[in-house]
Amino acid sequence: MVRLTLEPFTADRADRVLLLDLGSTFWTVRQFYNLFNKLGSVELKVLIEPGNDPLHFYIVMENYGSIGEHELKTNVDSLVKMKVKGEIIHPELWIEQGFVTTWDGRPKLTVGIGGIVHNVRVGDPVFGWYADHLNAGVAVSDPDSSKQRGVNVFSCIGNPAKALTGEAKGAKGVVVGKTYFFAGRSYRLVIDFKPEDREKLVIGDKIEIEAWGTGLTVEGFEDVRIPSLSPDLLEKIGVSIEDGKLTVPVVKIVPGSLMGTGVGRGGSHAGAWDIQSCSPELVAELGLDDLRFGDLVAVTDVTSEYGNGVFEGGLVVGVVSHGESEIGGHGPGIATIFSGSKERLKPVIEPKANVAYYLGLRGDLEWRRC
Amino acid sequence: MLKTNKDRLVQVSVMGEISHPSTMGSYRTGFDGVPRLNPGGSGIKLNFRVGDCAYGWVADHFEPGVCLQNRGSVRQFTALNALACIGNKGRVVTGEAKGEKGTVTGKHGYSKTFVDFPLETLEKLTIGDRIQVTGWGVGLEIEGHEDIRMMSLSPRLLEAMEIREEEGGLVVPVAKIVEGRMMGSGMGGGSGGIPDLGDFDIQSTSPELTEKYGLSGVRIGDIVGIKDMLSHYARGIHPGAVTIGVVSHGASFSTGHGPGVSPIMSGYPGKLVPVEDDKANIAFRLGLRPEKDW
Repeated sequence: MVRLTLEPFTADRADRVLLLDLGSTFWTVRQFYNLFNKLGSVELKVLIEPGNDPLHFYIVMENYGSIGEHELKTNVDSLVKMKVKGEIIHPELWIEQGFVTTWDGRPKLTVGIGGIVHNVRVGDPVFGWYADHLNAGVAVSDPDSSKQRGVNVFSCIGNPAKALTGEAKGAKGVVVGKTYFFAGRSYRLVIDFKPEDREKLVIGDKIEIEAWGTGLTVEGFEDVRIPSLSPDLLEKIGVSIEDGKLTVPVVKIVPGSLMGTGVGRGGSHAGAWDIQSCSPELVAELGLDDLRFGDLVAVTDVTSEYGNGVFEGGLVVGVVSHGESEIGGHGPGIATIFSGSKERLKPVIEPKANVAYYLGLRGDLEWRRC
Repeated sequence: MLKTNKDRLVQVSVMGEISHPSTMGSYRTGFDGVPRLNPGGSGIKLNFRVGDCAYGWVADHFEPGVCLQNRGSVRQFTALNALACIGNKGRVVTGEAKGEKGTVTGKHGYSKTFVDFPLETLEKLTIGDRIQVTGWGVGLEIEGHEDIRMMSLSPRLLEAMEIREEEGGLVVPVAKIVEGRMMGSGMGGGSGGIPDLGDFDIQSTSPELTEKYGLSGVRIGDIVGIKDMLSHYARGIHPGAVTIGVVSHGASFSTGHGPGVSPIMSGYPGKLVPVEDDKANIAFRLGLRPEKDW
């Protein structure tokens, strides 16, 4: 659906304006809609320069770059859509009966691993909570480790979820993260529910996910791996093709040297790997402290295709799935959604590049402007 | 009004089920050499709730209200115990009392969490019913007093305790000031390991000392101040330090045991000043026993 709104043109908007002077040709409304409907669900704003012929106007597109011959073609029609099922799991302490020791030698009680988190959601800041590896939403897994991998690997970020049991039966949610609990050796999904549904959920409630996306590729970019991303979220992100590169919006570009736990763990389709937050200086220097849950982040010189590791010239884009940590070598975890080389994959900074923004989950938040 | 970091604390659900009472399978030999078969642990207590006397029952380690336990892994059941804070609200999620609300009142050992409900609800509850608690309080700090460590304490209870700031420290109303030497089982962490789990006992095995220090009037839910006791990272003797705790379970005949205290605040010397106040009981502070005359 394309929605058009008329707004006055101002200079501060100039850098967001795609100079598409539609006034120079005669477009019918039908032609106009045909062109932009190809973009899927985007919001267009038509800006009219004061005093000018109203036929000459500019168009602001939040996701510009995907028009015409650059339209992405994917193998979406050959991807299997199937149901997987897990349950809301109980919170756990990192250390049985005890404190963890932080990177600087302090004892800390870990809170935020597993369970239903009531006051932090996708879109909220990663830093500033008294928590460790916080899952900002509902943690879903399967106690059986073989099934657990099935639930985690095949579920993709953006897939719809549904409560099957209990008072919230029928409530709809969406997969917003994938995590790995290192100390407990288990994989979890982070699912976002509307607050009114979340308050009805109970630990142990069964959650079904319509898993869809494993094997997703973009035509002509088969060498770029896309694990854990639902095809409809791919469309909403506004990925485009520029100079032979797949261009992905991200909020930050992080050097691969920061990647910590999760490096060396095989299988990039499951769980998350961590951007180390145990160096406050580096966190401040790179501006990681304003990361939010659900942010798209690029990491340079790493690969996450068949395992996570260092790779000169590689590029990975991930979704921030769990919160920061004060344990040495740990930090906000990202679930890989793109992995390729710098020649084929290009990150562009977009402060709104967040799963909650693309999926419209947080109408209550002010999204940062360019 | 104390300024806290409560807005930065995560609210997370934890769950347990009402556990069945058990015995040691035999008589328990008391400090006096008398073998006794006294009830006490787990289950649902209809006539013993927060606000009632901790001494004088034909019972041992008597646990008030409802006893919640989580049957999962050690990481899971200690998460219930550590993340559920005194004053947090719980909701019954199964059975006839489904939907009814209760309040966390204390902890025992490292696996038991007590929840108080109004009598009408207690009558409807059955063993095995599950209760989900919204844990909120881990990491709580008071602005300007960050060196006071708080554990198992909900922001709701902290705000109701009528604490006032004075000369760089906090004056805390307590029902009773307890000598550090009276503390027994649970010292050093016991099975719990960290002070955020469970409790430690005011020894009730010397009736003379209980009388001397006027402890026999202590009630479940009493906020007590323990002298010379530091509970920042484990419970242990430390001259001048003060631990504030909530009496969680009843007295015992076992040597070295007695009414349990779940620590909620620990301060280095001079930081916490306990002053006696009859109304310093969580049942009064949180309005759990309106029928009682305080």
